[in-house]
Amino acid sequence: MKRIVYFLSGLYLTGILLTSCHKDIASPINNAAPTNFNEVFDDFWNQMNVNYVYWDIDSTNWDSMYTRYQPVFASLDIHNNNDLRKSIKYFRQMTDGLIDSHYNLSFFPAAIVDSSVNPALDRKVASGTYRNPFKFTTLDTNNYIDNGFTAGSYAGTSAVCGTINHNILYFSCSEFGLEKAFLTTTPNGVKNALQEFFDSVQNGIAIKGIIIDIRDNPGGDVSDLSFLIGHLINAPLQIGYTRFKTGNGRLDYSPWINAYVTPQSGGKAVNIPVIALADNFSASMAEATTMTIHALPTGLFIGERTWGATGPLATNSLYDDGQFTIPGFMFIYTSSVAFKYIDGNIYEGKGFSPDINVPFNHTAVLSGDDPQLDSAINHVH
Amino acid sequence: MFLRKTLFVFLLILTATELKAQSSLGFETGLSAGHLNTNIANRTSSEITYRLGYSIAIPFQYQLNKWLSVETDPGIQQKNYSISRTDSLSGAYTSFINTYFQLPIMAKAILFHKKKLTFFANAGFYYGYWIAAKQKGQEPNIFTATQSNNSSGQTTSTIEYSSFDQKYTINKQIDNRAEWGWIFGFGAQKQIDQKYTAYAAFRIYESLTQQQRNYMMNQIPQYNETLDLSVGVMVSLK
Repeated sequence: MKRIVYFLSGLYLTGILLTSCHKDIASPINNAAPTNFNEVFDDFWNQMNVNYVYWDIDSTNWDSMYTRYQPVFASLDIHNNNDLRKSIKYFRQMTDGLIDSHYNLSFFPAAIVDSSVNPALDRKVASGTYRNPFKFTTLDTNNYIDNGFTAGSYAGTSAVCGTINHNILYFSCSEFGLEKAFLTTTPNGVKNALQEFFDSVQNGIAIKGIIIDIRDNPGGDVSDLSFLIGHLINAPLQIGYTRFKTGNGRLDYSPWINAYVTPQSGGKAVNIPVIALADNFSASMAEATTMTIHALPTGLFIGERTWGATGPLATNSLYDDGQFTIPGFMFIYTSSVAFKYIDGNIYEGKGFSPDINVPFNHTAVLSGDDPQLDSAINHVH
Repeated sequence: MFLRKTLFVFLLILTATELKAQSSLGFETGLSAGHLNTNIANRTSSEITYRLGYSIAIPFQYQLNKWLSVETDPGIQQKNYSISRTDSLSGAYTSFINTYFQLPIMAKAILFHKKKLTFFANAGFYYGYWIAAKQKGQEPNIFTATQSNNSSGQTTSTIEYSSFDQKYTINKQIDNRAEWGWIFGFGAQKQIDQKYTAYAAFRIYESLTQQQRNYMMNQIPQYNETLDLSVGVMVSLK
């Protein structure tokens, strides 16, 4: 009996001794509202480790940002408006190399509520090739779309559906809130335009091709991808792969999971040219739509390289990553999953290149021509 | 350094013991259930759960006296765990299937005999080397999101899960392939005849080294913990 007691006591003491070798598993992540700039910085820096999905391909050295900017933020007073404004400059410097082209910082304190930090936009403006966005709707409905087209808007989304030369089906939308507009019981023009588009695809007016114009479209609801393109397929279409964060480590990733667009009820595999018209201001869902059309057997992309914000967004709880808030101070808008296209490339921060490159021509549009749409029409014919 | 000191003391005890040696060799297999000890309290929709795996080993036992033996069980052990989603995402999970080569060195103490069974306890250390990994599970596939109106006219979103089962390539930058830790366990054995002894043992393997390399500042440590329930048979080599 003695030896049992000795042995068990020895085991117990050894266990205690060895367990004490474990580091205390504390988390540096704090969701409480910060009371000073030290806490703001720590919350921001730590939550970026957890929530940002591009660390493995991003050239930003986040550790060096800590070393460099932690003392800088520590010297700021959160109750001083000048210091609040200074902090914007430091946040901009810390994040200016992040490739996530959705990435945007917005702020809650009154002194800086009008400020924002958008690294992708800053880079494009600084490149010297940046132009202002152009809305093509008026030009195209006046000069290209046959009379009798359907157009309207709902909750910020406007859409047009009609024909060109009576044999090309044309659909455009200003952003993606299509399914929402279609489902609402409130009558609206977007629903009418969508219904005309779906009927034309399904029942078949004599169309030679389809043009989906998503130029100057900043994106929107991810559900619109299957909702819209799902009418042009009758089987799931793999468009690439998605990956998210599985842990708190900067490089804790899920595997790449196949990403599909699902056919909609009555979806029909089209065998006529389907052309995506997109430009430098086609972003997010507009890029996903462009890449999906490109993946169709008869798909083609005409226009300009897209914005480069290809990773979809959802609420943070869906993947426990992506966009997050520093309570009372700032909101960080960032992708929830990384997206790799079916060709194996990640176009985040780069943009997706067209099959037929037709640059924006300011002189032409001023004279009533739309060279990008002309190219699409010529391709169908 | 600590490991070296501990092993030295352990060896000293062994050599000081009267050598009434009797060796036996055997085969052992069982179920393992891994867990990752870390802190994910900030991940509000996730929890770490045990996931079953297997273990297989070739135990070698060297009896020092009537009640104390030294034992090594070189073999393979899976240290699997899952990150499971909670609440409305219930059913979504990612499992980490991690296979290790393992070399434990344990003391085995006979505690007492009851009826025809002999009860024993194990304590010791192990060295493990991560030899293969894969990730499997099902997670929300964001591009399958759809909206619909419920009976009260409200728009709701639904999303489908996609399954995956892929090999994970161990990453030299992140993953710490080697680990060591301590073992504690107990079991019961039954002498079948002069030559054969059957046994069942439950052991806990607690890693003292982190599963990941220290590749970033403010990194939250992760340690493997594995529960193992094995059965085996020993053949006396005397």
